[in-house]
Amino acid sequence: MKDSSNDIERAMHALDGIQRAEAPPYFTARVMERVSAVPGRWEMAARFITRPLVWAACLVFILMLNAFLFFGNNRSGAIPEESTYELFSLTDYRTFETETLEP
Amino acid sequence: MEALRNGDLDTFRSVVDASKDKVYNTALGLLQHTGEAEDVAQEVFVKLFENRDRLRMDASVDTWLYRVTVNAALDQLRKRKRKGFNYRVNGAAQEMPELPHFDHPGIKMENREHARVLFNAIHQLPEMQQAVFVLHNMEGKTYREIATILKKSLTSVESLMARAKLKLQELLRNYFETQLK
Repeated sequence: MKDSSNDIERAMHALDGIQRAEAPPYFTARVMERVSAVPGRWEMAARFITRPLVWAACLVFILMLNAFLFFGNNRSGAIPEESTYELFSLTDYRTFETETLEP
Repeated sequence: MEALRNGDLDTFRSVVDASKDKVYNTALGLLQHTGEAEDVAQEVFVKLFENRDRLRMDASVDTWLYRVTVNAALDQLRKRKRKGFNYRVNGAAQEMPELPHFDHPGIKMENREHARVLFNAIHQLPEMQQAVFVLHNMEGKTYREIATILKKSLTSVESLMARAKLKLQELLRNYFETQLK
């Protein structure tokens, strides 16, 4: 059997002195063509906003926000029993006589 | 850099002209397929244009280009592997499709045969080892530059390179010993 070490060594150094491969002809032209088709930032934003999925997500968000505010307000809008008692006791105590109202 | 960030097409064209061979050669080294390498290289420049406003003023465009090229080429290799895997799962083929013999146009004539064997062995290395080996041996990047490109430590790059060389020697030994029998 022949010794393979010489071949291994040659293969390991086969890339020595390698020249850089050149990009194919018209590469720059093709890139520039693709780049000119890239939409601008505002166009990208408009495309994103007009997606049906984005519309649906916004609608669901608004409905959820409404529901949260409605039920949240109802819950916090109820006056605690203690404070109503105080209000009633205040009105009971203060009687607005016509004499006291006049200067 | 400022003109590039502002989307000036003449500046962008000059960046493409100056860097297209670097990007193409790196992609070609990893993919070993001219068509796929051109697609990846084009994609890299389109990405550069799309992300031009995110480029840091102090950052090197070359480093960014090498990094994106390596990532895009490795993604392409993964896609290729998945495709091969699907072939096997669907029973359409028994084995992953073998790459045809690859001849890099920049190889010296007398090294062509051995380079073919070496490229086949490079293709069998783990991804990061391939990237480090290609950047060092085909693009002449130093370990420090490779560390910056791949966002790895210098020690990590040195270790990847050492393992790549050992693995390549093992693969080449297997190949040549089988050939000589």
